[in-house]
Amino acid sequence: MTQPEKLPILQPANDMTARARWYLGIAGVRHLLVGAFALLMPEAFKSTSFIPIIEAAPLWFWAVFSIGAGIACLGASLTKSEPLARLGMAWSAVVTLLIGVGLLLSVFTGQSSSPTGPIIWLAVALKDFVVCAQPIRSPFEGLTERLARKHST
Amino acid sequence: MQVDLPGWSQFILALVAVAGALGAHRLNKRGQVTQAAQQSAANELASRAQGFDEMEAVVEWQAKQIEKLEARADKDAQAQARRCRASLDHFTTAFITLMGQVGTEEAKRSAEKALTEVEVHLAEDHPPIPDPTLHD
Repeated sequence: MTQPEKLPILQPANDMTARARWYLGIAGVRHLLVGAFALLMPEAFKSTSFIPIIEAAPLWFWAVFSIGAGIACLGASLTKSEPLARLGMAWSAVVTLLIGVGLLLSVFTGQSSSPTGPIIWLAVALKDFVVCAQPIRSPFEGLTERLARKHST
Repeated sequence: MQVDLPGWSQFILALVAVAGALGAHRLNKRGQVTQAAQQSAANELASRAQGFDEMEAVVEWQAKQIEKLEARADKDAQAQARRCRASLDHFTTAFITLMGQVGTEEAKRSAEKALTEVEVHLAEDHPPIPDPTLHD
C-alpha cells in the first residue's frame, strides 16, 4: 500500500521586525552623533543644564558610553542579532535615562537653561524602556513582508 | 525651588544607572517571554494548518484508491460475464448436436424448450460484451 505524499515541514518564520530594525537604527545614529559631538566638540556642551551630568562624570566618559550604545544598536539593526538588540536597547535606555535625569537635576539646582531638555530626554528614555519590553522578532514577519510585496506589485 | 547638590549628582546618577539597568533587564526578559509566546502561538497555528493539509492529502489518496478498486471490480465482472457466455455458447452447440441424435418426439420438444430457455437467458442476462483485448 503506497503512502500519501510527504508534506513540507514547518517553516521557522522568525525574522526581526522592520519596526525594531528602524528603531534600533535611529537610536544607534542618535547615540553615535551625541557621543561623537561630546568626544570631538566638548566645547559645544556649554549649557549650564549639563553641569550635573559633567560633575558626575567627565564628558569623554559620557561620549564613550553613548558611542557604545550606538554601536550595539546599529550593529543589531544591521545583523538582525536579537541578543545584540536587547543589549543595545537596554544600553540606550540607561544612557538616555541618565542624561534625562541629569538634565532634570539641573532644573532643581537652578542651572537649567530650558525645561524641554529633561522632558524630551526622559520621554525618549521611556520609549526605549517600552521597546525593551516588546518582542524584537516576529514569527509572522516573513509572511507579512511577502504579502506586502505581493500587494504592492 | 532651588536645591544645592554638590557631589550628589554623581550619587544620584549612579543610583539611576543601577535602577535603569535592572529595569531594562527585567523589561527585556518580559519582551523575550512575549516573543516566545508569540512564536508558540504561531507554531500551534502552523501545526493545525498542516493537520488540515494532511487530512486533505489522505482523503485525496483514498478517493484515488476507491476509483482504482472500482475499475478493477468492473474489469473482473466483465471477464466473468464473458466466461459465462462462452460456457453457455459451448453448451448450446453441444445441445443442438445432441438433439440430432435423440429419437423420440417428446425428447425433441423438451430439448427445444431447454434450448429456447438458454437462448432467452443468454439474450436477457448475458448480452454480447466486446472484448477490450481484441482490436479491429
